[in-house]
Amino acid sequence: MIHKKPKLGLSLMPTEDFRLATAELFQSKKVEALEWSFDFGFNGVIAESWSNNLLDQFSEAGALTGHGVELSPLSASFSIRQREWLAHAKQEFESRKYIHASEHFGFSEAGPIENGAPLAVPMNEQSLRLGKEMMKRFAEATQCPVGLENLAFAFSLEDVKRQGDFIDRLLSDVDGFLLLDLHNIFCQVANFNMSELELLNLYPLSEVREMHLSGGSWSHSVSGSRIAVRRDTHDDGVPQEVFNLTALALKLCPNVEIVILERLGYTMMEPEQQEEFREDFNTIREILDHYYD
Amino acid sequence: MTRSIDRPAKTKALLAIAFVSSMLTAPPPALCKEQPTTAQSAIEVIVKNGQATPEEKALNLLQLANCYVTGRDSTILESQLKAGSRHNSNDGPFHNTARVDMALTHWAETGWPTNLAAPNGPGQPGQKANFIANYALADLAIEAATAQLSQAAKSPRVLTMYRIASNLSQITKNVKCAEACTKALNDGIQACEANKSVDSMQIKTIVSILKKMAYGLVPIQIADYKAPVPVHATAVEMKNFDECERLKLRAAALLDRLPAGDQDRRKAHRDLSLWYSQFGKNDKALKEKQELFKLVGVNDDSILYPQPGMCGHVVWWSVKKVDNSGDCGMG
Repeated sequence: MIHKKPKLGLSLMPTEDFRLATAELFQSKKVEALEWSFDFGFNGVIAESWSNNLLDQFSEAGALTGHGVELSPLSASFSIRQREWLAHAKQEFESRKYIHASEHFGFSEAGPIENGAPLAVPMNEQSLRLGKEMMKRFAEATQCPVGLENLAFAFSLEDVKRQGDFIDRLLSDVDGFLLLDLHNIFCQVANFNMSELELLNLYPLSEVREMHLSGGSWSHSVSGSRIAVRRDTHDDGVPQEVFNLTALALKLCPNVEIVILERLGYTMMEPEQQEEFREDFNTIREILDHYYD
Repeated sequence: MTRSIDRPAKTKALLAIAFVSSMLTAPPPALCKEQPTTAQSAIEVIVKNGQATPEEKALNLLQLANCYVTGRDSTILESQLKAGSRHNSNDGPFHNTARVDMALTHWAETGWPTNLAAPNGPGQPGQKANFIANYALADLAIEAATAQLSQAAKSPRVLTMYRIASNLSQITKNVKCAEACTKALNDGIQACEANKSVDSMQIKTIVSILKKMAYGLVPIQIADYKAPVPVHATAVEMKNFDECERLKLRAAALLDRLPAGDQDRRKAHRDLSLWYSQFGKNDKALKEKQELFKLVGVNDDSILYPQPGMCGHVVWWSVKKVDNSGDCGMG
C-alpha cells in the first residue's frame, strides 16, 4: 500500500559545524522539516540569529516539530523544576507554531539529579498513572499533539519487550503518537540480540508519526556478558544497520509524517564529517524516494 | 571511529531496501537444532565447528579462556557455544566489524582484572585446586585459539587476538605460549608496517598495539586536560625510554599515512609533544608541536588541550571558544 510520503528533516543544532554541514541542504530546499529541542533555551542560552531564522521560517511553513529533552515524563514526583519547564514550554509553543511535541520515555530526574540520561521505569500501574498525568500536562502546555520516543536503554530483555506496549498505554489518554527512534531500536537489537522484525512488532507501529535516525558508539561491556554495548550517543554517522531498520520500519508504519536525522553539535568539526552527514541525509532521501515515488 | 564515506548514498539505500526484502520474505528459522552431547567439551565443539572461520573460533576460545582465568561462571557461555548460537552469520559476534574491532582492542588494552588470586597464593581450602583446574582449562583454550590464529591471515584483528592470548598466557604462567604469541604479534606488526596498502582501520589497530607496548615500558599516560601544575616524569631506565620512544615514533609514522584531519594522527603528535616535554626534551617536543600545527593549520598552543563540548564530549583543535551551555537532545 502506498502512503503519503513523509517529510525529511533535520534536528537543529545551533552550532557552527551544523551550519556548515547543512547549508547546502537548506539552500537546495532538500530539508522539508526541522526539529527543535525547544528546551535548549530554557536556561537562558540565546541561539545565534541564523538558528532563529530557520526556526521562524519552518514554523511559518508549518514544518517545525518540538522535541523536549528535560521534562523527565516518568519521574516519580512532580517537581518545581518540571512545573517551570512546562511553563516555559507553554510560552515557547505560544510564540512559535509547532506541528507536534515529543519527549522521551523514561525518567532523567530523580532526587538531586536533574539532567541524567533517560532510564526505564518499573512498568507497573503506578508509573503508568504518573506518566499519563504528565503527558496530559505536556499536552495542556503545548496545545498540540504530543508523543513519546522509545528508549535505547533497558535493564533486561523483559524491559525491552514490554516497552512498546507500555508506551502505547501511556499515550492512550492523550491520543499521543510514538516517535520511533531507529538508532534506539538498533541499540536494543544489538544489546539484547533480538530480531529487528520481532522487536519492531512489539511497538504500536500504527501510532508512529515521526522517526529519528542517528549514529552512536560502542562501549566496552563491563560485565563481559556481551562483546560491546551500543549506546545512542549521536556522535557518529548513521550505520548501515540503522538505514536497514529505517527501510523496514517505513514498510511497517503506515502513518509516518516526518523523518528526522540527528547528530550532536561539535561532532562534525572536520569537512569529511560534514560530508558524511550530508551523505546520511541523502541516503534517507533515496530510501524515501524508493518507497513513495 | 573510522567509517567509509566513499560509498554513495544510493548504494546504502539499495542495501537497506534489499535488507527489507530478505527480512520480509525469509523462511522461518528451524525450531530446534541438534544439540551436542554433554560429554563434548565446549573447546572441542568450537574447534570442530565447520561453519565458523578460524578467527571466529579463536575469538570464542579466548572468551572461554577468559572465563576460566577470571573465575567467572562459564556455563552460559559454554552452553551458547555448544548450541552454536554465537555463530549465526546475521547476529553473531563477527557481524559488525567495528563492534568486534573496538571490543577486541579494548580487551587487549585493558588486560585482565587485577584482583585475581594466584593459584599458589593464599585462599580458602579447595580454592587452589579450582584455580589449577581452571588454569589448565584456560591453557587448553588458549592453545587451541593460537592454533586457529596460525591458520588465519595476519590481519590487525588477528594480531589483537594474539595480544589477548599472550596476556592470558602470562596469567596462567604458560611462558612458551606467551612467547610464541609475542613473536607472532611482532612479526605481524612488522609485516603491516611494510605493507603500504593497509587501510585506516588496520593502521589504527596496529597503532593501539604499539601504544600499549610502549606504555608497558614507560607507564605514562598523557591526559587530555591540562594539569594544574606542570608534570615532570619520574626517572625511567634509558633503555626503556629509548625503546618506548621507538615504538611511539613507529605508531606516529603509521598514522602519518592518514589524512591531515585524522583525529588519531593529530592526537599522536600532540601526545608525543607533551610526552617529550615531561622528560624535558624540549627540542623534540617543539618539533612534534610544529608537526601538529601544520596538520591543524593553526599556530596556537591552546589547541594542545580540548574545550568542553556538549553531552560530555570535548572539542579539539579549535581556537575559537565554543558554546557548550545548551542541552544535548539525546534519547
